[in-house]
Formats: sequence, C-alpha cells, structure tokens
Amino acid sequence: MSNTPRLSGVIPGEAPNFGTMLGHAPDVLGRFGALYAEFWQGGRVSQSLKEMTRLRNARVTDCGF
Amino acid sequence: MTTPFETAMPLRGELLSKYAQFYATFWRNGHVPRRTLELCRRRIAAIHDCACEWSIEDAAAALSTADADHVRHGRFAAFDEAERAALAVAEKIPFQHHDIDDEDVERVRAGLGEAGTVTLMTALAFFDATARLRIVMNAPDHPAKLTDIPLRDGALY
Repeated sequence: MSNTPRLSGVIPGEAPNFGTMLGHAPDVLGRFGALYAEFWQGGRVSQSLKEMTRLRNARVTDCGF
Repeated sequence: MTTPFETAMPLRGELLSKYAQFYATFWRNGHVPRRTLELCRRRIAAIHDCACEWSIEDAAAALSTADADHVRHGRFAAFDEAERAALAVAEKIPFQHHDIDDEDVERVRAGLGEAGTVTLMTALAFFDATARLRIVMNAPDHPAKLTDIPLRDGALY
C-alpha cells in the first residue's frame, strides 16, 4: 500500500497532512471540525473512554496515522 | 417532523445537529454531482445490507429502477466513467479500505478535482458511518422518497 499522500495540501511549501488536504473543501473541513469537537467536548462519556475507543478503532482499522 | 434518526438520538441533540450539518455539506457544496453521491450512498447501504439506509431515496437524484438494481448488485458497467470511479472507491470503503490504491484515487481526482475528491472521500466515509450507526441502533426502516433539498439536511431522515 502506498504511503504517498494522494492529494496536495493547500499550504504551499508544506508537506500535506490530513487537515491541509481537507482544506481543498473548506466547508467540509470546518463542519468536520465542529462535529469532531462536539464528540469530544459534549455528552457524558469521559474523554479517557473516548480516547481508548479512538485508539482501539485505529488499531482495528489498521490506521497507523 | 421528528425523523426516525432523530428519534434514535434524542439525548444528544447538539451532536445530531452537528452531524446533520456536516452531512449536508456533501450534498450542498456542488463539488460532486448529487446523482454520484446517491449512487455511492446506496451502494454502501447495500454492502452493509442496511435496509433502513437503502429504503431512503433522493428524488432529485432520480435513480431509475434499473440504476438501483445495478447498484444493489454491484454492477457498474452502465454508469459513466466518473460514476464508476466513485463507485470503485465506495465499493472498498466498508470492509476493504486498505485496498483503495493510488490509481483508484487518481481516477476520482481526474474527474472531480481536489475539492471534489475531498468531498467524495469524506462523504463515503460518513455514508459508511451512518449505515453502521443505523444498524447498531436498530433504527427502524422508514421508506421515503425525499424531495426536500438535499435529503432534509442530508440523508439523515
């Protein structure tokens, strides 16, 4: 599997990352950020439990990023 | 009107609201044809065998009965090149995401450009997430052919 980013980033001269690649569609990036922040900041589930599930999901999906 | 999805998530209204706003972005920003999004959404619903997601139709995308049948059974030859490129990635999102290769993404980028590629890839990931969410929450089937634009704040009917 290729490890080369499949899109450029929107910041010239900088290596692309998740955020700068999504920056090609700023509305998508902005609303993704708002949703993701709500996941982390709202609700009754503790942040430590959320972090454990996030890390476990990364392992299960074999996402090293 | 309270939708089945809203009924299933009454205690986290703000989360549902942000989810719907994000989801609506794919349908509204104009970077990916609505028909392409609808083909991919329903293909992912079919792969998951998610009757709840499958039973929702976007009237504006106007998939024919034959289109829907092709999508249900993973037959893409009748669709145009850009649609086939999108469906090729959609096919792998639920259970074969590591098999998506540079060529798959380049086919999408060649047709949709960078902003379209970001929009489509994000949409596919959330079509997958939404189907999974409906399944794990046992969201009831609620067949509907929606005419609101776009799918009443996305397909979160």
